[in-house]
Amino acid sequence: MKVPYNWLKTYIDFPYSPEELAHKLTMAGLEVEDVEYLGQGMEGIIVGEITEISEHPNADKLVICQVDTGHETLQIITGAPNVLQGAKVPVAPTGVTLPNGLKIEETILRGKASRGMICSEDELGLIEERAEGIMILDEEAEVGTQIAEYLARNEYVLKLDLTPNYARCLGLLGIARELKADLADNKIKFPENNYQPNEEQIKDLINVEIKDPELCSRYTGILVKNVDIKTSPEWMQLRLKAAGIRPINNIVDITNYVLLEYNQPLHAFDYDKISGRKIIVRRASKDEKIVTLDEQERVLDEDILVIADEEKAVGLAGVMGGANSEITEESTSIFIESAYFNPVNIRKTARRLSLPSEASHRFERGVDIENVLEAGKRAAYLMQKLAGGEVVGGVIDQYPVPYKQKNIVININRVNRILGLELKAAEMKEMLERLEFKTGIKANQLKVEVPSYRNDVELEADLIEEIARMYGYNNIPVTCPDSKSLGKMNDKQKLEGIVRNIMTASGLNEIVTFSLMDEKYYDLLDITAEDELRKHVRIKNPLNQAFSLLRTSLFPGLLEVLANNARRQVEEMKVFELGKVFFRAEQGKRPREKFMLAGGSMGCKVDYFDTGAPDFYCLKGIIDNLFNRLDIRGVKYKKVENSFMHPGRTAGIEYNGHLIGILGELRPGVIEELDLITRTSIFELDFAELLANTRINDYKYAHLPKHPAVSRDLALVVDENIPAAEILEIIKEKGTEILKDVKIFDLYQGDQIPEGSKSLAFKLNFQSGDRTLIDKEVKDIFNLIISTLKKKINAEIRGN
Amino acid sequence: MDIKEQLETIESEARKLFDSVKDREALEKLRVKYLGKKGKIADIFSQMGKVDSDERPVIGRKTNELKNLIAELHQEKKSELEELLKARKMKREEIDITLPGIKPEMGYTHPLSVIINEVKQLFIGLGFSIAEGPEIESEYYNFEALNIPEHHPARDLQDTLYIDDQFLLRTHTSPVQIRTMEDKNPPIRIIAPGRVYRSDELDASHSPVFHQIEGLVVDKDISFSDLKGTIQVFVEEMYGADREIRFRPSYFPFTEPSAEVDVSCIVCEGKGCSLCSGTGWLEVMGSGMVHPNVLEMSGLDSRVYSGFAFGMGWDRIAMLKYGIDDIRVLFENDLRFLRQF
Ligand SMILES: [Zn+2]
Repeated sequence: MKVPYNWLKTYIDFPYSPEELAHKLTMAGLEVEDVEYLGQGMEGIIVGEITEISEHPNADKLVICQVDTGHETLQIITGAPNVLQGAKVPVAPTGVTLPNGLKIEETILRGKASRGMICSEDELGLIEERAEGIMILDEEAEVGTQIAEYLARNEYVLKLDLTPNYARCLGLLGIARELKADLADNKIKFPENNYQPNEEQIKDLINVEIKDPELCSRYTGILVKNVDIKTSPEWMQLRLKAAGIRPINNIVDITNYVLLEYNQPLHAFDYDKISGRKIIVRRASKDEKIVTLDEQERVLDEDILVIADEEKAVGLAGVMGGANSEITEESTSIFIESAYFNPVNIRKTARRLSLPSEASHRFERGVDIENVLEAGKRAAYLMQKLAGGEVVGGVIDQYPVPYKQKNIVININRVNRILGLELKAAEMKEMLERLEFKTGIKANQLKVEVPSYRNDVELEADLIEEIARMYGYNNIPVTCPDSKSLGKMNDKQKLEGIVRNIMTASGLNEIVTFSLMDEKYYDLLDITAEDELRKHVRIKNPLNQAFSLLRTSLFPGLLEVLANNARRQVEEMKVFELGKVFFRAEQGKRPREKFMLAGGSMGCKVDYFDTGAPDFYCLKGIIDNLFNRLDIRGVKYKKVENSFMHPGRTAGIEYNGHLIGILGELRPGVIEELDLITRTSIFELDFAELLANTRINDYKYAHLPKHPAVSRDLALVVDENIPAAEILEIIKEKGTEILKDVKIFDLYQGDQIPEGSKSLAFKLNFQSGDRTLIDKEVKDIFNLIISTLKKKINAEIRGN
Repeated sequence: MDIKEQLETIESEARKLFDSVKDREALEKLRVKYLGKKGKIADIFSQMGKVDSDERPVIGRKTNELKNLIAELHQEKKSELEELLKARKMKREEIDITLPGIKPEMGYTHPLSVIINEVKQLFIGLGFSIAEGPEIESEYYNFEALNIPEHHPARDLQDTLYIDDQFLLRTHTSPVQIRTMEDKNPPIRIIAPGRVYRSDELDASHSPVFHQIEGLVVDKDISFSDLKGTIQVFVEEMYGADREIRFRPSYFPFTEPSAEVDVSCIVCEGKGCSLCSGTGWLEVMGSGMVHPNVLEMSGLDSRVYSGFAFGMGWDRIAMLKYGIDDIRVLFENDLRFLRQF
């Protein structure tokens, strides 16, 4: 809603500057987004009179003008073809900057001084295209007047962003009422609407029938004859333009003008185009068609309310008029409609037909049903005054569902308790009455009558807000609620923090990516139609392709982050994300949400075992640390395959016999496609599994061993296909409880050992909690390990 | 030369030699020269037989004294040389202390997590618990239960992404209020941080995916002044104690009275700048007293209980706090960006 400052001032006198008004309204709940000065850039440009014109001695096309600006006479040289002695013109003296940014300076043109500029319309920013000559003003223009004032540009426009509960302020009178609450002595100056009717009676000329009172509970009409259709007066056009409405002709402009005054949309029909002299307010029939004012044909149905005559629909009620009853230059008789339509129905129609309008916007929010006729009368008055119309006597007022006065009883103690105040009944009454709520006091209760234009007020709570508003939100004391509870996080939330710390401590950077994604990632990763990852949830009304699905994995976002960084020449990067993924459920069931942990590494420099898979092992080490820290024991890595991971370098992470995650290097094709660094590896873990299986809360102190440890190295050559985990398992099993720790410290494949085999070196640490181990005991176990390895996996022991 | 003279000569000569010795080898040679088995002191002792027996004890004592003296000179010099050696070694080991240190690889926490951790700690300190809810919500929890009926203009305030006729992506974290009130009896004191969705094109100030933090307190006798106090503590902690706060009437379907909370601009201190669009104020959150309809729909008696709720953009807090002027930066995860937090 655009509110012209000076126009508003015609309804209530207030002592505020435009900025003060903006602040006042904002603090009352009517947020002002912006204050625009329409004369922006015209400062300093004034009305001057050309008192004398003489030829320029050195230039044929230039003339020398003497221009009277009220307090001085300026010599100005111009080449404009239309200069005229005695003409009133806009003058920009030296030092003034034009709206287009040009600064006027004193110049010498062919030897003669020029101390200003006579402006054209385009130079004033009034028109876009270049003007032929200078702008000639009215003869009555007063010399010395600021041009902004002369052009009625001396206006400030406040742009209001109104929330739905301030719909009443979609009209200037509504805003005036808000201001009046703080200006007890000032009266609202309601617009004049007393017209002089002629001898005729409207009921003899037109009838109205409301077929569906539920959708139209009041319909009023006034008939104006013999109007002269022309442009509306300058002042009206200027006000409409300032409010953001394009002037069309006096009749349409008047309806818009009254709309902005009263927040009551009106419609003007060409009376002669209404057949049967009858208006019928009815639901459209199925597939009924109408061409609306915007020349679009609309196909209707029974949910849409139309204004019709006996033959046809002539308008979409409350949304837009029909082309067949439009006011044209030939129109002479105008039927003014002012009505109340059902908000929900109007909203549905406007949405259905994608036809939001100034009218529907207001009807949707509810207009003041009691003032419907007042607005119509105002329009009739203006048509009489500005279009020479003859208003027919009497009015049509069909009011099948009369307004019921709303009364609310509020409890004074509760109001005070909710606001944290100690107001007396009389104080509350005074505040409410400033807002025109008639209020009676009875014991500790107030009985409040809600004015008809306050359709936002339904409950005690709404009045509590009004009292708070009048008291001033910022005057309400500041207290803290008594706390009886202890603040805490649940186990999931705590674990999330722990995992985040472990990840960052491991050198992984946390990322946050969109959970909406593009389906192209599934194709890029060659994910098959049957894959679980394709059970995605699709957005019904996506903004665009890039945000059309909910992710089923954190991988796409993570890969995009790695790829974007790789393209920016990042050579090494490790990342992780904690976030939700979503899976489609059966029809009608809520989709599943899973919280996941994913990570990725590219360009890792440390290749401890020289396997050419540094990123894989780096992530694996981090995952192992994580399990260790969370005290989740017995996690196994099993070879698995999927469409986007390297078939020889992918592990399913298994716990208690089921998969809880995956770790692997990306397929070379995917790495190439995304411009990733070779060997980039990723993992994803189901956070719920971490939460379910962690024993982080059960840590117990284990006594530190007092007896010395014995360490033994073991190097063996085995078939290259035997996984290290299998060997470790044998060593651990045979090592008994005195084998406290076993580590692999070397892996070798090459010339020194037979082809198809690998050499692994282990460090075994033996220790007992209750005694010093004797050499023989360790030796026996060590030998048992060796013999078992020889027997079970055909290991050859080196250097033994 | 008699023995006495010899002793004197040995002493003065030894003092000079030990004094001028420069390295350990030379020192060892001197030790042998004087104290060795064939050294000068041994030589004196071997001459004892020639000494008169009455002089012998005196000479013997003097010789022993000289021996001790030389041993002392040797020891002193030895320590001196060792010290010198250590000093030389350390001198050789001098490093360029201005060379850079070795940095273990360190991961950084995303600024959104940094912010939410701060917020959580703050509210836990105020007795709040952390609540969560699904991101895919039903119409009921996202709208109806929050007093936003179908066909109400308030639905225009947020453009919704729908899954189907039944489910949608929550447009705010407010459904967690309802879920909490349904599950738990007052006193309720929670914050609910989470991800929300709107049908907004991605640009510098909008994102279809963003984050909010919801707060809810319900109990007997909870007042608007309690709301103000709680928010004031939050604002002072997050934006600094010298921020001015103002509350102004606003509209949210699920609160009544409703208030928008502004803080004085962190850049211009209220003078007006581009961040605050010249107003001097920044909108930081919406708040209000829980609407009685909402309490009732969640199964609480609005005559017995009252409460307040607030909600704010969590991304926006990060942007204001760190001076980030483009929301997209938060989701791009440029390493150079991540390493700033
Ligand atoms: Zn500012």
